[in-house]
Amino acid sequence: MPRKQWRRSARQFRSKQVWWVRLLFWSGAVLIGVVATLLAVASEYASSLVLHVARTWPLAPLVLTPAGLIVIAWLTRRFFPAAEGSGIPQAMAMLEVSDEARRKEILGLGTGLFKGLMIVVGIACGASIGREGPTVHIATAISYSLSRIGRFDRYLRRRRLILAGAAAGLSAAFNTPLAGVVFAIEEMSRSFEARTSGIVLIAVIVAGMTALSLQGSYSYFGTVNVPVEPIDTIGAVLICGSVGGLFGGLFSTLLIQGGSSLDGLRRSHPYAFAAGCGLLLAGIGLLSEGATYGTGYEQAKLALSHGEGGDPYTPVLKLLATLVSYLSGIPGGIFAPSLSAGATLGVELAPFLGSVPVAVVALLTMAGYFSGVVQAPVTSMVIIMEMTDDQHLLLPLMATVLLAQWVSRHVCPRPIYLALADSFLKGEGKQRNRRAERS
Amino acid sequence: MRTELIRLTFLGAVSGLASGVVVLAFRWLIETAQVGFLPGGILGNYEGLPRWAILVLPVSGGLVLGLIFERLPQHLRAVGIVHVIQQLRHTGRPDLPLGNAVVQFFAGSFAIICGQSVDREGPGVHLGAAAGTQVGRRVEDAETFTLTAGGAAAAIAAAFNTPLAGVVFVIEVLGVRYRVDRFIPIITASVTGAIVSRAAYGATPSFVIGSDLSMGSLHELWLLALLGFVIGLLAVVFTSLTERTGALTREWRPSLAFTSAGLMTGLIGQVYPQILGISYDTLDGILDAHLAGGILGGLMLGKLVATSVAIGLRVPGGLIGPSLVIGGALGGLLGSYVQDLGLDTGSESFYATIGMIAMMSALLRAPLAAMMALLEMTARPSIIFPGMTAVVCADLAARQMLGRESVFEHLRRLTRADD
Repeated sequence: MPRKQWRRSARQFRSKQVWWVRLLFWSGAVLIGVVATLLAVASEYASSLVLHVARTWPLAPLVLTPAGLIVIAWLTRRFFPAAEGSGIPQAMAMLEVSDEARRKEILGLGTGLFKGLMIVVGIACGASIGREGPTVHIATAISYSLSRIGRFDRYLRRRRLILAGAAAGLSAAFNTPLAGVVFAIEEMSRSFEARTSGIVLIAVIVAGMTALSLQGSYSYFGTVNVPVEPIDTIGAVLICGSVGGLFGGLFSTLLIQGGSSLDGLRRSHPYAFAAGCGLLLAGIGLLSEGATYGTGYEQAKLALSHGEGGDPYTPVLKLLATLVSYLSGIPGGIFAPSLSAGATLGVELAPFLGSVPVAVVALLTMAGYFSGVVQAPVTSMVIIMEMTDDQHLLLPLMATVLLAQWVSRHVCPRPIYLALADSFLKGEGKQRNRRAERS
Repeated sequence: MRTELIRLTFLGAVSGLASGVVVLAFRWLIETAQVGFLPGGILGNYEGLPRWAILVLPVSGGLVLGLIFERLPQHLRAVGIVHVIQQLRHTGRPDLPLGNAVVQFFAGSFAIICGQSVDREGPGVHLGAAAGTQVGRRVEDAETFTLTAGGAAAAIAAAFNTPLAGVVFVIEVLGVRYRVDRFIPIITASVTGAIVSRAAYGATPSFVIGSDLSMGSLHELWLLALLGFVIGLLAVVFTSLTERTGALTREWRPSLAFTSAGLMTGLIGQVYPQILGISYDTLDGILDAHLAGGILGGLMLGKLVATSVAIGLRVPGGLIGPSLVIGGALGGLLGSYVQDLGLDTGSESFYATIGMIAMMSALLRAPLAAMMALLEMTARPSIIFPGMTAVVCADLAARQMLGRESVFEHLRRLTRADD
């Protein structure tokens, strides 16, 4: 056994400095677990609130949504411009930049806190947004702020703290420990670094333990246990994979292209733009009889457990609502709404697939759509496996995800979070130049 | 570029298919032989052999195998996962010659049939990777690397019906760098391998995981963390024992080395005959909590010594299966003690399953692959969190003492000094 290794370990074990940093890191992870739980509870409450409002007064969103979006857009622009959007591209962009002051601003605790509040308000106003991106943003803000208190070495500060925070945030948000890790590694850093995984795993465990002890054990979508022979699902795999991948890819392309082409308009008339988006959202909500408001968790769960999907247009409307919400520039993620759009799309595909149970088609299409949107095959497989308690569908699920990934690349050549991170960096640069010109 | 991706994905499926078929043939050979001569025609039933046979079989088998090995030229003797790692990591284009694979096929199956305490997964990875190389050589020479990695992933996927774990194994253990483009063919290969094995052996190809896998209360996480630390220490003992044996016996002729490994196995087998061969039948017993708690401790130590010595003596087999048995036995032991306390706790199977995964993770230094395997084998998301706790603690303990290198890296250094 290598003596040198022993001696180094013993020295680390006795060092107060090392223990202080460790303790700090663990408390940060606990905090991430607490915040993720709070955000989960608050946003699901907001989501059920808006559904209730829309059911009682169907026309209320026509006023509520535009007004809410204007307020959120104003607050965001006035106080924390870095808080807009999903949060995952921001965290990814911060892995790349070398400017420490900028990182401090975007991954500031204030930005994170504000974003958490705004997401709840946004959902309550009827925007179709998810909480996972914001949770990731807050979590990275927390983990990054630790580096100002304790003395982490430079490499740790730059990449590993951000990745660990992101993984812990996503894991605690959905109670999907493994998916958080894989997401941070596959999608965010786009490379598996063996050195990263130790600290990432510890952050995930501590945050997850906190979230579990606050919320108890659950699986996000419950059990989808429909006995089906994998061989019978071949047709479903082909259709769900290609249709799901196609729609997912379309969504991504529209989001990326729309974001860059409407950027000028959004910057010149921010409030009118927010109001327009709000009206559009309310209109879509009316058309769908309220099904597009909120995170979409309820709809996805219904589709997966009972095979209920509502109107045939619901999935497309949900896709559009999510798109509009994102483009409006308010804080909010696309993860959970995408799961919902995919699951309801599956319910619509089920009649064409005769003998295959609706819940299975919904599950496969959700996987396909999600994989089409984020284009990270391993993450998509793991997250769906962890969200649903299912025994029979491993192989069909993987085949669907692969097919969807492949189809989606034809529609959307660049993975969405990567593209958004790039455009975020570019947009930031522009704003900075403008500010510099003015002063 | 897009048409190339389609073509490569298709080739990935072909190499996964080739790998799956070769691995199944390898397994079929071992099982047919075992059914042929073991008492009652039961797979892995070395326990039913008379005492003298338990000693004579591995010793004479080792001697014969060693004598054959001595007749082989030096370059054909390089087999197993270490060989694959060497080729994938240290020579830009992998070269896994057909000759070595043939040697691995027959030598590996012979060693296991004779009761050496090694597994079929290590040889399987070599055979699968070699199948991938052959596909690459014949069709698309520039992509041989990807197809070789795909073949290796498919071998793991076929062994345990765990396609994702196969993919992550390639990243963590074989050291292939992740890139989305390259990995679509590899994932395809892995899924194909799993489909092939499923068609032949059903959803539980190697062993059956127990059905009662829920955790009693969150306080058990502390117990699982403890289990993880102990397993990490066991992995350290295993690695050091392997390394020491390897260093001490570097100059030994194969006949002497393999016979000594057989002697060691035979002697331990006098007390614990379950350790002979792959021991997946024993693992089944541990996972359903059929084996009594008392025997598990001895079984674990016996398997640990027999396998680490055999691997150190360069017996052409793998150590993944034994690591599962060792970890499973320790987990089962802890589980049975906890059960006796009469608290609201998880079952023995729960502890055994997690112990098994943690040991594999600590020995191969592959926490993510281990957790993927856990998710895919149990298909119960609720076990991931407790499993992750044990895996991370095991990994930390092993890292504190051994650094970041897996047992294969330690072995590779020994063989390189050989050249």
